[in-house]
Amino acid sequence: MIDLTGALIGFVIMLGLMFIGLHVGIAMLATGILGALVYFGPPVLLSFGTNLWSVMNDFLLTTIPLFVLLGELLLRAGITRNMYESLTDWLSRLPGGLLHTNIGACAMFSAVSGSSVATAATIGTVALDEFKRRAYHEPLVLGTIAAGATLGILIPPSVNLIIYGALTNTSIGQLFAAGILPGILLTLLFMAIIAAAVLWRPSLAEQVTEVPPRAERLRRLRYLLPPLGIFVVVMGAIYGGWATPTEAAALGVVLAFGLAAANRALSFAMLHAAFIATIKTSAMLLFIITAAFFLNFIVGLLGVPQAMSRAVTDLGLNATEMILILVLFYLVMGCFLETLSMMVGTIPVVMPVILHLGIDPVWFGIFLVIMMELALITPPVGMNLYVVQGVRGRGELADVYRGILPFVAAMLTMVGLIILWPQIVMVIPEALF
Amino acid sequence: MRIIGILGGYACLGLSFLIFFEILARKLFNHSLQGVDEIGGYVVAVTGTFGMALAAVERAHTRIDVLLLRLPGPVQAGLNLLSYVALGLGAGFMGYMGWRTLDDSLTFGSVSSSPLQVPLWIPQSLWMAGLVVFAVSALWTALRGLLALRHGLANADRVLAPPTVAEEIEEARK
Repeated sequence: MIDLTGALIGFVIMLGLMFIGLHVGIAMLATGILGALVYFGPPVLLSFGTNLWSVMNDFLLTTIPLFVLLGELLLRAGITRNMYESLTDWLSRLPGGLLHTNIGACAMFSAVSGSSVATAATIGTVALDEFKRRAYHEPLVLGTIAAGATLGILIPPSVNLIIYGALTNTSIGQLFAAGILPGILLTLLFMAIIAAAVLWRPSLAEQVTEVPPRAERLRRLRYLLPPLGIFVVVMGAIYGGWATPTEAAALGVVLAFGLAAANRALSFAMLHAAFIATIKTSAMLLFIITAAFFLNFIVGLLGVPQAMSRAVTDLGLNATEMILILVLFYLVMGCFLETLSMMVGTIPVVMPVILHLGIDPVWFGIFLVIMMELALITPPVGMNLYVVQGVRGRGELADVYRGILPFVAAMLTMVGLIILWPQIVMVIPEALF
Repeated sequence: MRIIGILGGYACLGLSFLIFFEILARKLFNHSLQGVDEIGGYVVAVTGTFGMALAAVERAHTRIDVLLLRLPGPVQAGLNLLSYVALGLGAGFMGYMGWRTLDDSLTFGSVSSSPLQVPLWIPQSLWMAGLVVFAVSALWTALRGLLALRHGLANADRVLAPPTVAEEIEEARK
C-alpha cells in the first residue's frame, strides 16, 4: 500500500515524463509499470492480463471512432460557408454583429465535429475571410473564434465526455444530457459579453443595419438544418431510448455520409482523407485510454484512492473547498498540459477524492470539461490560440491573447455558476433518467 | 501505412451502416440482427491497434511540447529519439500482454459468450498483430529519425518532432 507522499511522487514522475516529451500514453504506462515494480514486483504487471483486450474490445469505445468519423465527414461535407451566411442573417443585427456569428457557427460546428482544432481552423478560415472587408477590433474577432471553438467539447455529443465516462464508469447518456444546458448558457454568456463590450465601446464592431429580406433569410435557413438535424437525431435517438450512444453515433455517420453525397462533396479522395484522419485520431485516443486504464488498475492496487481519501479527511476539507482548490489546480495544469492529457492524467488521483466527498461524478465531468475548455484558451499552451493565430497567418500572437481575455472571464463565471447552482448541470439528466 | 487508415475507415463506415440497418430492422420489423455490437468491438480493437501504428509513423500520438520546444536543438533531437524508442518498447509491452491473452484463448479454445460464439483467437490474433506492427513502426520511426540525423537536426525533426501548429492546421484542412 502506498501513502500520500508516494502517490504524489508518482504523479510528479508522470508529469515529468510528459514534460520531457515522451508520448502521453507512454508516460502513463511507464508510471504504472514503475509503481507496480517498486511496490509489488513484476508478476503484478501481468495480472492486468486480459484487461487489455477487454478495454479495447469494449462496445462503448466503438462510439469514439464513429463520432470522430462523423466529425471528419461533416468537416468535408461543404456546409461551413453556407451555415456561416445563414447565421449572419439572423445574428448580425445584435450589438457586435458578426462576432455573434462566430460564436454561433463555432458552437454549432464544434458540437457535431467534436474537434476544437478543426473548428478553429475551419470556421476561422471562413470567418477571417469575411472580416477582411470590415472594421472590427481584430483581437476580439480572434478571441471569438478561439473561445467559440472550445464549446464543442461541452455540448454533446462530446468525445471527451465519452472518455471521461469510460474511465470513471459514469453514464454517457447522463453526461451528454448534463452538458446541454451549461453549453447553451456558456454560448449565451459569450454573446452577452460581446454585446456588453460593444455597447460600452461601439468602435469595437461595425453596426450592421441591413440584412437580406426576410424571405431570403428564411430560404437560407435550410443551411442550418444539416448540423442541427444531425444533432437532433443523434441526441434524440439516445434520449428517445431507442439507440445506445454507439448506435446514435452510427446513425450520425450515415446521415453525414448522405449529406456529403447530397452536397456533391463525396469522392474517394474526400472519403479517404476523412478515413485516415479518423483512424489516426481514434487510435491516438485509444492508446491514451488504454494506458489510462492500465494506470488506473495499478493505482487501484496500490491503494492510491484510500491514501487520497484519508488525506482529504485529515485536511478536513469539504466538497466546496475541494472544488475551489481543483479550480486553481486545473487552471495551473491547463496552462502547461494538453487538455485531454490533463483530464486523463489527473483522473486517477482526483476521482477518488471526488467520490469520497460525495460529489456527483456527472457534475464533476462537466466541471472538468469546462476546465479543459479554459485550458484550450489559456497561454502559454492554449491550443486554440495558436490555431487561430496560425489561420490568421500575420500579426502578433499577443492580439489573440488580448482578445481572449473576456472569454476567459466568461468561462470562469460559468465555473462559478455551476458551483453555486449545481442544478444547472443536473436538472436535465435528473429529468431524463 | 496509409492503407491502414483507408481500410480502417471503410470498416468504420461499414460498421455504421450495419448498425443503421440493425436499428431499422429492430424498429420496423421487430427483428434484431444478432451480435452487431460484438462485431463493433472487434472492429475497434483491430483498427485501433493497427491505427496506433499509423499514428506513430505520422506523429499523431499526443506529446507535450511546451518544455521540449524551449530546449537546445540537440537535446530536443535526443528526447525525440528517446520518445520513439520508449513508444516502441511500450507497444512491445502491450504486444506481450496481447500475446499472453491470445495464448490463453488458444489453450482453452475460448469462444465469445454471445450468440455468435466467435472463437476468440480470430479477432485476438489480428488485434495482437496490430500491436506488433505498432511496436515495429515506432522503432522503425526512431531508426528513420536516427538516420536522418546524419543530414542535420532539421531532417531528423521532420521525422520525429511533434507536429507544429501550421502542420496541424494543414491536417485539419485536408
